[in-house]
Amino acid sequence: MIFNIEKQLNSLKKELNNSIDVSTRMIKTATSQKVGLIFLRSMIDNQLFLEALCKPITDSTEKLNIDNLASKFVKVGDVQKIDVDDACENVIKGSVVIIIEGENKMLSADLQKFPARLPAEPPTSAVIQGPREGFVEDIKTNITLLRRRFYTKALVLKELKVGRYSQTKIIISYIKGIADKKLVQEIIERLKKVDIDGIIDSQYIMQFLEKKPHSLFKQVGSIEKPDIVASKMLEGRVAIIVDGSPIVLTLPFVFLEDIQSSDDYYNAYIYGGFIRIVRIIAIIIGLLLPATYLSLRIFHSNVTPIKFLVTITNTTKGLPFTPFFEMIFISLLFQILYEVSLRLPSYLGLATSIVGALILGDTGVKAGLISPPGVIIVALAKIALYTVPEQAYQLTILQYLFLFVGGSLGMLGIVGLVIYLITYMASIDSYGAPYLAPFAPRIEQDLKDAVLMTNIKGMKTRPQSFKNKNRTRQK
Amino acid sequence: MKKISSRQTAVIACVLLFANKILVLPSLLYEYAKADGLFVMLLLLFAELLLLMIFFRLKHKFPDSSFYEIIKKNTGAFLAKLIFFLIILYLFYKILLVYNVSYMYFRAQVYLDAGFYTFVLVFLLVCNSCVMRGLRSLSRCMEFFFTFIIVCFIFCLLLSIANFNKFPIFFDTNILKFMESGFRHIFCFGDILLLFLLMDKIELDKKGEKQITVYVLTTILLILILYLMFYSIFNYTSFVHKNAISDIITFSYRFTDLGRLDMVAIITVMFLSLFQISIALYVFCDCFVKLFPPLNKVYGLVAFDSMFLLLIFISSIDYIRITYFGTLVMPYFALILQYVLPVICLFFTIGGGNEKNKR
Repeated sequence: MIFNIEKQLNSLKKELNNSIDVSTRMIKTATSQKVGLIFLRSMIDNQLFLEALCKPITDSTEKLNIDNLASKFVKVGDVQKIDVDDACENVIKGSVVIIIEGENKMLSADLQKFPARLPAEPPTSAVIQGPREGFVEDIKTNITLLRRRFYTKALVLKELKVGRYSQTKIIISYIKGIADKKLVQEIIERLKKVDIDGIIDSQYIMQFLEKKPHSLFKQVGSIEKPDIVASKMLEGRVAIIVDGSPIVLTLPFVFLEDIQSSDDYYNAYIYGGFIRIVRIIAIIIGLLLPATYLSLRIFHSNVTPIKFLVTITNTTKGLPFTPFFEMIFISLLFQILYEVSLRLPSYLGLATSIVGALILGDTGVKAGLISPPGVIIVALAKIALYTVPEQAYQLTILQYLFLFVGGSLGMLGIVGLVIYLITYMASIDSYGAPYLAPFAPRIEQDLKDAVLMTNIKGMKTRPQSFKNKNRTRQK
Repeated sequence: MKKISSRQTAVIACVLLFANKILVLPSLLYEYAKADGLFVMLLLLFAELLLLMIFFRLKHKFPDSSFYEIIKKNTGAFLAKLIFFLIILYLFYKILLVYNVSYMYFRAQVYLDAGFYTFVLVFLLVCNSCVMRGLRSLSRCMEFFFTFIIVCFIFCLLLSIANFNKFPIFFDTNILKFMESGFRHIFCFGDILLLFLLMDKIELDKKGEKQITVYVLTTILLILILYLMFYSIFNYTSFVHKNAISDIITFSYRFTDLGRLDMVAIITVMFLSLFQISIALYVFCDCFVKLFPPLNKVYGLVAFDSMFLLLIFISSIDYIRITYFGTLVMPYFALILQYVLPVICLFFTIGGGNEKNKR
C-alpha cells in the first residue's frame, strides 16, 4: 500500500481517539518533499524532536526514502521500520512515527521522555556506609543501574508485557550460569498467566507471584536498591523490574532476607552479626513484649518478680480499664498517631508528635486513663518493629494477635501461637526455598550468612537453600 | 512424598525423650526405687537406644515401606489392623497422659486462676493445626526451636548446680522394688515407637543414623543429669516434688536474686508438651488413616478430639485417675507395643537383602 500522508495521519489520529496530546505535523524537505509526523506531545523529548528529527528532514536536499532517512537520525536512540498496524502502538510508547510519501512502510523513532526523578537514597534502606542510589520509577534508569554492576554478557534481561490496558513492561533479570533455568521459566510462566487490566506497581505483580496469596507473610523480596538486587542475583535469584515502580522484586525469598541489611556487608562482619541479633531481639520484643506483659498481669502475677509487681501494682491502681483494654487502647492510639503522621504534610509532623507524645501520652497517664508501664511497653514494642521496616506491617498485625492471645490465654496461648506461626511459616515454599531456611530445615552452609555472619572471604559458596547453578562463588 | 531429614528425625526423637520424663516421673520413680530411680531411668533409656537400633535395622531393610506395610506383609492384614487399633488406643492414652501431666504442672505453676477450658483450647487448637500442616512443617518447627529448648534445659540444669550438695544415696532398695518402679512407669517410655510409625516418612542414610544416635545419647545424658540433680537436691523428699525441672530451680540460691527464673523451665515444658502431643497426634491420625483407608487425617482429628473432649468433660477423667490407670493396666499394654512388637519386627529383617536393592 502506498501512503497518502494526510489521509494516513488523519486515520492514525482517529485511531488514537483524537486525544488532545496527539500531534500531527507535515514538514517539507529542502526539495519540497512532504514528510508526515505523528506523536504524543506528552511523551517525547521536544528538544530532541526539533534538533534530531525535524532538522535533518528539513535540511535534506536529496530525495528521501525510508532507508536514507533512517541513517540521518544519528541522535535518535532507536529507529526502526514498521508496518501501518504497529504505528499506533509505537506512538503510544513515545515514538515519533514518520510517514514518507510514496513508501509502503513507516519509520518509528524513539524519542520517549517523561518526567522522572533521579536515583536517590530510598527512605527505607538508608545506609551509613555503602552505595546510596536507589531505584526510580523509570525502567530504563533501573536497567542502567543494574547493568552498571554487571559488565558481562551473562546478565540476561527478558521483557514481558502485562496488563490488558496498561501494557506494563516487566523485565525479568538474572545471571545466566547462576540462576536456575527452571526457576526463570516458572516465573515467566506465572507472569504470562496474569490476566489483569493494569499493573500500576510491582506490588500488583508480587501478589501474582506469591504461592500462598492469602498469607500474612511476604513471600517475594522487594528491594529499592540496585546493589542489594545485584547481590541477590549473584546468589542465583531472579529480579523482576516493573515499569513505573521503584521496587524491584526478587525470587526466591526467605524470611531471613528482611532481617539482613546491605549495611551488614559494608561494615565489619562481627558488627553485622551483632546487629542482626539486635534486629531479631527487636522483633521478639515487638511481637511478644506487650502480650507477655499482659499475660503476666492477668494470669501469672505469681511468677512476676516482686519488685516489678509492686511497681506495676502501684502505677495501675485506679485505672478505669482492664489490663487488656488498656493495652489495646494504647496500641490503637499509637497506630492512629502513626497513620496520621504518615498522611499529614511534613510541616504538621512536629505538631502531631507533640500531640501524641505530650498531650495524649503524658496527659493520659496524669488523668489516670493509662499507666506508665503500659505506655513504655507499647512504645518500645511499636518502635522495635521498625528495625525491620519491610516486615513492619505484617508484624504489627501479629502484635495485635499476640496481644489478644496473651490477654485471653496467657503464656501457654503465646507459646501456642508461636508454634502455630512457625509451623505455618515452615509450610511456605518460595520457589523451592523453604521459608525458614537455613534454620528449618537446617542448612549448615547457609548459616555462614544467617545471623552470625562470616566475612566475605568465608562465603565461598552460593546459598544452598534454593536451586542455583555453579555453587562456587570463590576459590 | 517428601520425607523429613535425619536431623529432623533426631529432633523428634529427642523431643519425645525429653517430654514426659522431666516433670512428675522422677518423683514417681522415687516412690519405689528411691534414688535408684536414676538407674531405672538409665535402664529404660538404654532400652530406648536398643529400640532405636532396631528402628535403624528395620529402616535399612525396608527403606520405603511403612510400619503398617511391614506388619501386614509378615503377619497378614487382620493382625496388622488389630495391632494398629491397639496402637491408636495406646497413642490416645499417651496424649492424655502428657496432657494431664502438663495441665497439672501449669495449673500449679502459672495458671492459678485459669479455667480448664484455657488448656483444652490451646492444646487442641495448636496440635490440630500442627497436624493439618503436615509432618514436614511440624518437624521443621521443632527443628527451629530445638536449640532454644536445649539451651533452656541446660540453663535450668546449670541453675540447679548451686543446690548440689552431695550425691544421693544409691542402692538403697532391693531389686524387686527397682524392677517394680520401672515396670509401673514403663508407659512413660518407649517413645521411639513413634519413629517406627513414621518410618516411611523419614529419609535416612548411614550419616543420618549416626546423627540421630548422637542426638539421642546427648538427650539421655541431659535427662540423667536432671535426675541426678533432682535426687541430690531433694533426697528423701523427692517423692513430693512433682515438677522436677521447675523444682530444681525454685530452690536455687540464685532464684531470689534474679526473679522467677523457673519461667525458663515453664516455657521449655510448654514447647515440649505441645510438640510431643502434636507429634503423637500426627501419628495417631496416620494410624487412623491406615486403619480406615478411605478416610483422611481430618477424620482422625475429629475422632481424637471427640474422644478427648468426651473423656475430659463427661467422664471428668483427672490426673490421679489417669496416672492410676497408667500404672495399673497400661504397663502390660505398653510392654507389648513398645518392646515386644519392635523385637518381633526385628525377626522380619532376618534373611533376604535390602528391599529397595531387590527392586
